[in-house]
Amino acid sequence: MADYSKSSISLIDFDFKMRLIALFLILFLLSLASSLSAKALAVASDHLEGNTLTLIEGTSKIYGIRLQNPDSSESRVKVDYDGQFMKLLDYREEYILPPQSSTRIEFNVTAPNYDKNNDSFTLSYTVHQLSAPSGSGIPFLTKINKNFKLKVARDPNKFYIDYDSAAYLTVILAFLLYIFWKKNKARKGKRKFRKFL
Amino acid sequence: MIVKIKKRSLLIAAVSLILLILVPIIYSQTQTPRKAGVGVWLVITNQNPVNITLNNATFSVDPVSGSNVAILISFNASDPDGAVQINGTNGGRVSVNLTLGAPGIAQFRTHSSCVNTTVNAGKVTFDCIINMRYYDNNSANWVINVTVTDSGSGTVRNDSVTFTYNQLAAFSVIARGVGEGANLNFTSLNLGDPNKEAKAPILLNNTGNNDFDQINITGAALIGGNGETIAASSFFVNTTNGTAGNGLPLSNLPQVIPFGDSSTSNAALMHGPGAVGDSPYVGTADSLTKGNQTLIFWVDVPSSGLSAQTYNNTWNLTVVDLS
Repeated sequence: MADYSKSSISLIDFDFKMRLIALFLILFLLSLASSLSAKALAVASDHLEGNTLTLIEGTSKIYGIRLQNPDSSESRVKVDYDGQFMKLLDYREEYILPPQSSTRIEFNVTAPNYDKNNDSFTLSYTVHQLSAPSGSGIPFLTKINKNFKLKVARDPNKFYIDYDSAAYLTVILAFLLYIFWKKNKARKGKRKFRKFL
Repeated sequence: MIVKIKKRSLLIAAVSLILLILVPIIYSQTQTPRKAGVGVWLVITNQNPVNITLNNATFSVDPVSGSNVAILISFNASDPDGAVQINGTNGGRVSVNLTLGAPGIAQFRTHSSCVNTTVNAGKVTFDCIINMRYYDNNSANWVINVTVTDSGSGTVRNDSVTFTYNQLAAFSVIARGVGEGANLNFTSLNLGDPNKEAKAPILLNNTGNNDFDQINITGAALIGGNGETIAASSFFVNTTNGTAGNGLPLSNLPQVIPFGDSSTSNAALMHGPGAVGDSPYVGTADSLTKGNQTLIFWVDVPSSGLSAQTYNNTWNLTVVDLS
């Protein structure tokens, strides 16, 4: 009599092994497909009219950007920025973005003191991809560099001295004083002359 | 000239005139409508829907890189003749469009689906989905246009709500026409080979709605397993293949890629549907050609000092928005 129990066990074993191999192959093909796909980098940002953020001097505003990872594999990115007037809140050396995800980060932008001759600044930030795509050949690490303008407005509650106008007024005032002084001197001279006579 | 009229004749004329005016009116009021002479009967069979209230306050949406973003527009509509006139029971239809710009040349998107829920006898809530594409313009002036038409073809319209479609700076890199991902490959190179073109050009796709005015490249020497190197300056990049081998020699420092062989203008990566070949909307046909940029690479293989092996390193590509 044939021993079916043993052969059935080996069949199940064989089936299990085939499934494992198939699973391994699927995972391998998936990882290969993700490594051979396009590499993408994406940054969404708050809308600014005319790409300009207008702030009253000394005030701050949050400017938000969202790092998107459209790829099917995890992505590591870094954010560099011009720190003169903005500061990254919750700064991290690198951001790890899961596949098909988005991460919000915020800059606190602060306007400097108002200066009539220097009231517009260009602020810039760069998002760097840190993880290069795998596969043979020369991979590219990608970066996106973005700029926007910061316009500083006068504080309506503050009194400003226009130095150009002030200088102009001073010259006119000095001239008038000079005329007055001259006339006064001439009058005094006449009076002295009459007294003398 | 003096015309003399008898009083009696004047009276007869006046009475005749009055009768001429009144008789048809009296007649029409006393007869059934089908026998009406000059009587006018106005029967109002349908009243227009009276009100559309959008449940969305002004909002902002981020585009999704290289894809669609689904926007849900929810609104209430009412009809004095009953909800059945607009909820599909007796007919009726809704149209939801998102538009930007003047009619005729506007960018627009229309709803892909709408479902409705009848709130009460006269009021219906509609939830409509509209997909916006990644290259649709960034603006705070997108208008939601909602039109409800009832079963009697009466319509009401609301375009009082606007929303913001945010800016998305995004791009992808892929080797064009070969299934080799985003990497650059040179094959079958021999010592001293000049102007050898890469196996496939690199294609940059703008997958957002932001224009990039400049593309910078930073090269690096390719290094073999035994430490032998091929200098970055042996490689060249160009946006056209008009003249084989011509282009910008790479360097270990960032350089701006020029447009073609031009020394005055540089390569740019504008937003548009060029990467996916959509025909988006009337009036913006020029955008069809935008959305991608090809970079063609060449190498002048040094004539000595290299052994047969694989050489590699990582290069950098930066897209810059100067605005």
